[in-house]
Amino acid sequence: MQQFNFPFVATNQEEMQLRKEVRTFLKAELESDGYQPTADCWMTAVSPEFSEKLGAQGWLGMTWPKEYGGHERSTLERLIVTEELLAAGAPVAAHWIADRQTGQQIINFGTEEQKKTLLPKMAAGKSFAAIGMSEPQAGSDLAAVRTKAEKTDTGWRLNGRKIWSTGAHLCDHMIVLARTSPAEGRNRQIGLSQFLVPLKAPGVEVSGIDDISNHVHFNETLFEDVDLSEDALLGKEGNGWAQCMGELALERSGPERFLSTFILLEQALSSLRGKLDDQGLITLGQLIAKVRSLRIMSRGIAHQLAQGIPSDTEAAMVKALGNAFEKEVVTATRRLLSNTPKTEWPAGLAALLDDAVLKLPANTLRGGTTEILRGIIARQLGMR
Amino acid sequence: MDALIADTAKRIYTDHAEDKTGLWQALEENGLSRAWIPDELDGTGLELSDGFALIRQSAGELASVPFAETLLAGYLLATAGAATPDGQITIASSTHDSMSEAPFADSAEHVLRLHQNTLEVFKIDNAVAINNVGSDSLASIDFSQLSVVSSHKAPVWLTQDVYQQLGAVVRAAQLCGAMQYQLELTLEHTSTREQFGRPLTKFQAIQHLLAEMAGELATSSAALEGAIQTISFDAAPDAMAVACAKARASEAADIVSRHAHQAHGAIGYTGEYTLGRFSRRLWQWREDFGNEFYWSKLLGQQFSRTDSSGLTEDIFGAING
Ligand SMILES: Cc1cc2nc3c(=O)[nH]c(=O)nc-3n(C[C@H](O)[C@H](O)[C@H](O)COP(=O)(O)OP(=O)(O)OC[C@H]3O[C@@H](n4cnc5c(N)ncnc54)[C@H](O)[C@@H]3O)c2cc1C
Repeated sequence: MQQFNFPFVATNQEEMQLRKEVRTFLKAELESDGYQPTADCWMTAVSPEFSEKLGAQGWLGMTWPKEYGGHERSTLERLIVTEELLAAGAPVAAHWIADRQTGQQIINFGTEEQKKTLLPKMAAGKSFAAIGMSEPQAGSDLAAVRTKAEKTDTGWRLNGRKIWSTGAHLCDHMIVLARTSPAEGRNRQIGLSQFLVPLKAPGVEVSGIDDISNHVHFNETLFEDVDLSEDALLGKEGNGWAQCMGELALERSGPERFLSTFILLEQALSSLRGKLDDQGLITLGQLIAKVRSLRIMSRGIAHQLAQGIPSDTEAAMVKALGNAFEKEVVTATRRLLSNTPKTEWPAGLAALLDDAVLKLPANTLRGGTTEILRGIIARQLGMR
Repeated sequence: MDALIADTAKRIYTDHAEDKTGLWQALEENGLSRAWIPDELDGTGLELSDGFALIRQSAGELASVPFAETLLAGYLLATAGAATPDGQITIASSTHDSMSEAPFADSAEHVLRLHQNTLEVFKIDNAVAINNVGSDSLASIDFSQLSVVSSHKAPVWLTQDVYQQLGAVVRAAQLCGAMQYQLELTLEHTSTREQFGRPLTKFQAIQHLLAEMAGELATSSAALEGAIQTISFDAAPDAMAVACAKARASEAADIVSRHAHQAHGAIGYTGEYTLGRFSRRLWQWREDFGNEFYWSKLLGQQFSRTDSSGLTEDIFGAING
């Protein structure tokens, strides 16, 4: 049977030092009204000013080469920073995607010119990026994308539309998965390519879509005869599917896949300490055991990815377990608070809970649904 | 685990699948039963992590011998600098009263308990088998009726709580081993069993059961590793890491065994087919040394202390996961 690998990575003193720095920074920001903590902050709490401050701290593009504005720190150090930001519910949505995956894709597949011009701005928190994978007909079945790029004398011409792109209305670039040649029979993963598309280019139209709580968070993007230069092709023509899967491993294994609702538990607990009955203690303890186990797994994946060891299935596992945990946290918090009148809740907690409830349906959809993730695990087990 | 050790153990289990006496003899001759006893106390002196890997492996084998208990006894006595007698040694599950339950007490030669800061080894000459949910033998013993073979002052850190924690980690490792066995067996069964003209593995509902089992096993293994890292011969383990490991593994055992039976159908419910024997082990081991509710409550207490400076700090500040 296929074994899944999550090497144990011990904590060291430098990590603790970095944690302290981030916490000190966050505390000061909170006290000076720099932000309001939210659940699901990495998806929805947008603050370009805050992103710039993080850039100035050297906490964006942490693992990227210094010559491109990065800081050449370890994957684990980046993990420390992201964990702390998520746990605090800080407004990190603006830069999250660029920092997590787009920058790395550019490092892996971009031209020298792209690296020199784009990465420093992303690492400074001044330029953001969006994911252009999903289309109306291509959700879980991503290989069904119809957006097309055709070769021209000067580069490529892009036609089609993307949907659900988080934050595209704030972004300078989107990595678009498009068809560049027909599928080979039933193998539709052939003939796909990735493009780095400037969203200000003529022919690109981004329009916001209201989410369930009537916030514009994701977008539809139309591409009508968008002329792209030669170097807009990211990586190799026809290698889009494989590149996309690599991107998804970065996307699925991070702490944002299990800490989205953590802030809720932290804040609820602040009023419940010393008051939980036995059932309440057990409920809390079960959550603690889960989050600690997920952290061990997530650290293990970060360590493996840093060494170039593919960890796609492990990442799918963390996301599936982590998303279930995030939902469980909300239910548990409601249960733990059920004996306390709302008037006695800490200030802001009721709003935080409502907000978390409204955001919760999305966590098991975005970045691959739970059903699709289980399919990936089953394939690795040899069942498909 | 060291590949050579793993292979040796595997070969022993294969050669003696049906023969407990031969199996034990082979485990002893190859030094595996004395894995955690240091060289100077006449043991094999393996790494603690290697021993845990051996325990995990043994839990996925059909033959039931007190391997885990004997290893743990060797470790405990070694912390006191004391020699361990040859043969099978079992561990008392409760150490407060003179009556205690101990697995395999009807076949093991000795039983170890921690009593008033003293590690006491007794010769077993009278144990009463008791029915239990598990498939391995369990017996009750009355210490007041047994004779002490040797007693040793335990190190100060080896309290009753620590004794229980060590037992819990050992059981967590066994739970992981038995869950892995169930996952592999279920995979094999669903690949070969056909209904509606296709192997069961082709049905998505079945795929999702197995994917969930694999996830529960992986996350339990991660928690186990976190606990193992904190164990040494000269200090108590991290109680919270232990609590996570046992809470996760005990909870996962419920899900894994439930899905394994569901995917197997009636054949898995028979006494003859092996699945059930591992389910019964899981259902026993998940209770031993504290079940998921016991350890979760402890975690809940620790992480809701009024003198805490916050959950973030308590969780992310922890050195061991
Ligand atoms: C908040 C949010 C943000 C997002 N951000 C982005 C973004 O930035 N960029 C981007 O490209 N996309 C984004 N997405 C889109 C996301 O990736 C898709 O929603 C997801 O891939 C599922 O596709 P779908 O919504 O079309 O659902 P469908 O694929 O239609 O799925 C509907 C249901 O059917 C199930 N299903 C589908 N196929 C199977 C199967 N083979 N077996 C079993 N069950 C199946 C699914 O699991 C699901 O339960 C975002 C989505 C959300 C909710």
